Amino acid sequence: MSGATHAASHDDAHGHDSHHEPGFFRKYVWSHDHKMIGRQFLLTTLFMLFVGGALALIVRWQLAYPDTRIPVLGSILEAMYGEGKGVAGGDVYNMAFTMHASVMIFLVVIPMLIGAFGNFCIPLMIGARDMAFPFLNALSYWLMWPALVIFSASFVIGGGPETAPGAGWTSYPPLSYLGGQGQTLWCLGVILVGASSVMGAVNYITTIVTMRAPGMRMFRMPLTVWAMFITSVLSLLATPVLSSAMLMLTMDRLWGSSFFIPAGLSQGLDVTTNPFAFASGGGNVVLYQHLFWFYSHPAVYIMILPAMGIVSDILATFSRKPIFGYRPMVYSISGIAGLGFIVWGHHMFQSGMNPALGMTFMLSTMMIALPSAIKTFNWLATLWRGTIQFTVPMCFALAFVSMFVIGGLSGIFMAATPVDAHIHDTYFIVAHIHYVLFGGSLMGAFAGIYYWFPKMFGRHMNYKLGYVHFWLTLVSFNMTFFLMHVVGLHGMHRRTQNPFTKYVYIDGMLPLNKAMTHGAILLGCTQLLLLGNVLWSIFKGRKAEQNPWNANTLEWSAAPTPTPHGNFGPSLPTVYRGPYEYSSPEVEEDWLPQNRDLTATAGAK
Amino acid sequence: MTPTRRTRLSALALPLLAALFAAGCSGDPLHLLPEAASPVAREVDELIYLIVYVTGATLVGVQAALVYFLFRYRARKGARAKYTHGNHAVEMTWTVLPALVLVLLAVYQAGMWKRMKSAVPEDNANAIEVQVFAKQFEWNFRYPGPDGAFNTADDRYSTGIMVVPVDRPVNIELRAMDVIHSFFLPNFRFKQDAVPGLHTKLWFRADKLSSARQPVADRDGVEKQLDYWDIVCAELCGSQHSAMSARLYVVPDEDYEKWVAGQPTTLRLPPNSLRGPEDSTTGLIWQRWHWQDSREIKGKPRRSRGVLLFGEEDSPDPEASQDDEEF
Ligand code: HEM
Ligand SMILES: [Cu+2]
Ligand SMILES: [Cu+2]
Repeated sequence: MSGATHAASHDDAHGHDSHHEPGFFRKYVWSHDHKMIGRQFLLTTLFMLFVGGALALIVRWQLAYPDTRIPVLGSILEAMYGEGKGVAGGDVYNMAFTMHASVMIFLVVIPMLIGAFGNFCIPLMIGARDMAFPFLNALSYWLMWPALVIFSASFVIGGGPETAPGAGWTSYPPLSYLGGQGQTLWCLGVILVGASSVMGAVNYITTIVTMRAPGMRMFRMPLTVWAMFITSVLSLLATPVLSSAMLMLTMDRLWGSSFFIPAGLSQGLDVTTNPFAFASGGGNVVLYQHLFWFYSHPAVYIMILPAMGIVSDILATFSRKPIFGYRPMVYSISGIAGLGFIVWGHHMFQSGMNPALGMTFMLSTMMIALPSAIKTFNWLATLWRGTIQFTVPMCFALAFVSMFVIGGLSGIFMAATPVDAHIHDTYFIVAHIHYVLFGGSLMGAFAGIYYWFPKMFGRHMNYKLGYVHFWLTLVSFNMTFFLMHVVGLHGMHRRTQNPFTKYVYIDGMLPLNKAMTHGAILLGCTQLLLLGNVLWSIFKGRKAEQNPWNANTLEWSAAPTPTPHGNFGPSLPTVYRGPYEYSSPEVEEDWLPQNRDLTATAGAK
Repeated sequence: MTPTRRTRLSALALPLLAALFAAGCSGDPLHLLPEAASPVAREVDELIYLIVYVTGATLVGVQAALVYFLFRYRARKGARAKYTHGNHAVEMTWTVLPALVLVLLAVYQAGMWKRMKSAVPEDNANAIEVQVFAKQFEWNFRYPGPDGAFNTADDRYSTGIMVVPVDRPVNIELRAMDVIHSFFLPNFRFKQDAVPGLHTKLWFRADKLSSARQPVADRDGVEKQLDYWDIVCAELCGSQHSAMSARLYVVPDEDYEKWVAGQPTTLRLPPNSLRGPEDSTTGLIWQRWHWQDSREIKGKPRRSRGVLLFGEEDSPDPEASQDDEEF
């Protein structure tokens, strides 16, 4: 068995590893240890969360107090763009929502869920010593940095906000074809994060398939690992399509290749010097949208499946109950992944795509709500007759379930094509996005942070502060985003910086917009509690024991805290059962770790 | 009560509730939507309400169950969780039931989608034709003029104002001249992207005069009487996207005829630039744009798309017709 032999050879390799501590650089910077790479991802993305959040507040400020100077953040804008640019009107606004979404999606949610938790948890949970390709793993983290630098440069490259990327995170041409140099950098940044994702995906798939500990059958893996596995498959298959779209867009922009630019439109290239100036036309604007959404719809599941896995694990642990319907859960994750590839057209119902094609995408989109519904019912049934412990991670996991339901149900409105004709490109979509991505993915990530922190950093977080963070987040989140359904249905369109002056019917929604902005400011400030808590607890938190939650999975039951290089001491754990044997009648305690050998103790008695 | 029974009960209750609500109310009882001004809009509203009730009931049911479980099954001294890995029958129930609801929803709306986007309006002979040209950041409209044909000297033009007769189908052909825009009529629940390179054909019918629009409250709650419906650009198209509005006047037939007759037969040239007058050498240039369109739409089958499902035979290729004379 390749898994076993691989593990054995690792045993020898790491036997003497512990003798020589790697130096600071090898330990904290260019580390090949999956745990350190996971921590690096976590701290980087946590920082980027605040960059993305600040950009969001610029957007929100403009929608509540149009064309007035932004307090605090205005000074940063002025430092970037010069006197008088501290107002979020005009190009600043388009830059802000474009970069907000790009940062949140590409530099926060995806790398946090997959880079941080995937890296940290997969080897520990399946009982491996490290990832299959540790070097590739380090590379996938360090590729984030050029992306980060390039994204940052795109803000200022042309000197003003008008050259920054401003065509939305979807960057549809021809608008994105016209934008300033910042747009080119944006495309390159996306290609780089894509490369980083693919490296991670290859690594995770290989690790999960070949390096499971003895006894860890596929159907004994925790749902977090299942989710990471399926996510990696999605990411491996879909990301290259996005990268090609970006490359084609870049070529259109720089060299007039006209993949996406139809006859009759051409860039104002200088005919006397540029041989490509006449070569225009033949492209198709809608083609870009197909390519983009062929990636980006699976990408929304890339952003939610890991959170679903994390939440499943946490719900079972703190209900002290096996997850209800383990196999249906696995099947619905796979179902989501499969269907996820044939629903992309639901983003294009109003795009000029053939309405008959829209009809088929409508059907598949309706069907993709089904696995999500199944999962929700299974989570509820997991709670049913459990003994629920309201720890901080559990609170966030419960919030995930509650908020994800809202996001899933609003999806049904948009899946209904005639309704989508009304709400497409309105704030209703923005509400949906945020219920699934903040209420869902980020709540799941927060749950994961509080849950695994003791293993990651060997210390507990401050849970009193954690509860405050939880309640403030839940309340201000709903304050901010629930009202978006309302203004969206009323026809307030998205990506607008000051629709109030032009449209009387939107002007009436200004008070609601103010309320949302106040919610958003509270929501943003609340996250400082999380950051503070993490940073403080890394150094000052209460020391954690090996298995503070009495959990069954290997990272708690088999790996010591703090976890050494190589994870498991001299021999790998052997797995005897599934991950959710809580309150099993076989033992007196209410947990029964995956690696506990009951036959041995029975024999000894 | 077991979850099985609970789910079965609520599964029965949901459609019943929805049907009751739908029967008892009409229009927009919860004031969720802008005033409706077309028959299609009212149809869409019914669908929206159906979904509001179905998802609303699901939402309440799920959240209530969640809160109840949290309260009822909170950890207590000596309590031990029930050791169960699931139940096949329950699993089947909550797979099949939502699947049915979703499929029913899908089937129910399919006809409406077809009527909105593909079908020919019933009294098409009575229809008027308008071409809509979207450019940064304004809406331009072209009417065929007295001879009923486009690309003739008597074509009439208008910028920022669209006038249509009440109770007659309006066949529009959407085009974009620079980037993507989206023609959004909130009161008609009507939205379609205007895409460079595509000539997208659609129709709507207004059944309410714009002068009869209900007052709209502004930010201070002051009610304003408007005499037009809003035309909104719903697709990000650049820095002035949120100001790219136009007005749709729905008027009696004779007023419409009078207005069209009074419109100019030329349109002022839009500047050759996307970024505004100050930088007209960079950016996108209109090399040739298909204003001059020899193709006659009137009387032709409505659209080229949807041939497969909707059984329309005609598929004119916009590039094939000789419609690209220099502007
Ligand atoms: C329960 C099943 C879901 C359904 C039926 C659904 C349906 C849809 C539809 C039809 C749209 C396009 C709306 C439009 O632009 O007119 C949409 C947009 C979107 N959905 Fe979902 N969705 C579901 C779940 C999710 C999940 C789980 C996520 C992410 C975690 C997600 C993230 C998004 C995002 C980010 C967009 C908007 C992208 C943009 O235009 O900027 N959705 N969804
Ligand atoms: Cu999607
Ligand atoms: Cu626009």
